[in-house]
Amino acid sequence: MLNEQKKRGWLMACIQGDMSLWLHSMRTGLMLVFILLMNFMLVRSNATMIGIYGYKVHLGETLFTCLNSGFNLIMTSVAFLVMISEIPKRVSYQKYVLIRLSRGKWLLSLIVFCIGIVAFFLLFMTAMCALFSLSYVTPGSGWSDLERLAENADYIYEMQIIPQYIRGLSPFQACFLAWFVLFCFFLTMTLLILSFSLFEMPNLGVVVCVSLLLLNITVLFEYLPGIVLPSNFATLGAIVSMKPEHEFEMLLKVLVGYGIVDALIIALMSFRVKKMDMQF
Amino acid sequence: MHEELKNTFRSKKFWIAFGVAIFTLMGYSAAYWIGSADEWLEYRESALQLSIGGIFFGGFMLLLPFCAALAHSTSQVEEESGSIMQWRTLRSSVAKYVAIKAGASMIGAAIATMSAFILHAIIWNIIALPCNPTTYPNHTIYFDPSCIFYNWYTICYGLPVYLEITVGIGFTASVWAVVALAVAVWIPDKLLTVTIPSFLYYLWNADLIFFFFGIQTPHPATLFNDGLTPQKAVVSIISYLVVLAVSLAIYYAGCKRRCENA
Repeated sequence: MLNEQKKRGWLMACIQGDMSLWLHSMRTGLMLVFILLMNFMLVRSNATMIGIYGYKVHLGETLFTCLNSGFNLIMTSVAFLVMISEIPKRVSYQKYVLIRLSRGKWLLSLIVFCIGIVAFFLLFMTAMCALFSLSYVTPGSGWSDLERLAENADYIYEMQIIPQYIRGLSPFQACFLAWFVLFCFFLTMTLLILSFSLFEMPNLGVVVCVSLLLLNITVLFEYLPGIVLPSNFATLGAIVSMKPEHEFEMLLKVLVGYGIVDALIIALMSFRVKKMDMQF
Repeated sequence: MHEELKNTFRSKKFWIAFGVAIFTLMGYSAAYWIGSADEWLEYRESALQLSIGGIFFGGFMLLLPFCAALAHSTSQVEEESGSIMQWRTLRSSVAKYVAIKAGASMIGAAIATMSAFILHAIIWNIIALPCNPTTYPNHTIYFDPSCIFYNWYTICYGLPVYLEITVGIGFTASVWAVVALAVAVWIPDKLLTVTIPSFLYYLWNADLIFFFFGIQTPHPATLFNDGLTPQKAVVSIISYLVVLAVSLAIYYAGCKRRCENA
């Protein structure tokens, strides 16, 4: 029991320390404000669109719409990358941690911290999205598309709010699935930044990730078929659009792919951490 | 000023900003050119369409404030961290320092972005057919009749359009360079100096002011985008002049504070 507590103690202390440094950073604060404003704009534009059609929607659907598109993926991701660009924060705190812990444990604490901030960030976004949506959603659960379809069979020819393949799941399950895809994407980016940082190139990591993300809008890939970008794997909506009719099969493959990529990055980092000179 | 400008054009960041701007413009035109390799030359887009396509349909609009901030404004952070700013203001004055720094940043940002657009246009005027809708109906661009480009693009292979867009890009970039300076003096962080102007631009683009205050503002890229009317141009120039004045005031206040409390 005591050993268990001890084990958790060092991990929690490390995460608490890293979290405190992260939350007290100027970059984190300013980017959170920006993301919040972006989220507000996204929800308002969704509300305007729903208002034009005169539909009544439930909270689960609006959350799924936002999660499915990655909360305005490009700008949110860039802001998130700026937020995490300093991990691990190069301050003497890291030196003290390394004196008291092994390199392996230090890396483990950083990986758990990365998982924590990604989860915290996405939960914060989801909560804010729910809060901003409260002004225009109607009470109820389930998919409003099905309700409209039951009332009017011709509705199938109109704009559907939720894609058909996901209606087999409950809104909570659908939201969780979309949330998990985003979680995997953001976690991979975070681990990539961390690995670049361990190779003493923190800025290059941000530049690589931002460039890969922005390629989607800077290059006209419609004219260059066969090229797949990271943003094609970032959201549930983007993944399933690559293989219509086989959505869940594609999703499973991508999730396995994320698992493999993350494991490789972690293996590379643990190899590096054992050899590197710690300079903080 | 001469020394400051020399430093601007010798800086690696200025060339990176230029490179990003031209890459973004090429992202549309080169991709289209490769994708339409099987078509006859006269059925492909004209040099004008290819030159402005990266602005209208590509990512140039989004990356303009980033390029503008990167060209010279980040040097403010270096001067603050190295205390050069204090030495320079001691030898002249805060007002002169602000004028030189803002002037150099504006010129640097304008040249980095304008030259990218001009070079890109020259390249496509060599490779593709110059815009001539009378001979090649495929070169017709369906601008709105109220848009100032409606008749302009048929004159002299679209030269007035090229000129207006070049000036529009330069003016917009120079204002965003001053915004970046105002950020840099209060938040001496290079990454935030280039990202905050980009995000402010994006929030303006997303009509944040309308949502919060109900005031309709012109699109931040109005001066070099399609749909430009004389009225929109006037409103946009006034909006940018207000942004410029506010940014300069914030920058001046920041410089003064830094020098007094150095």
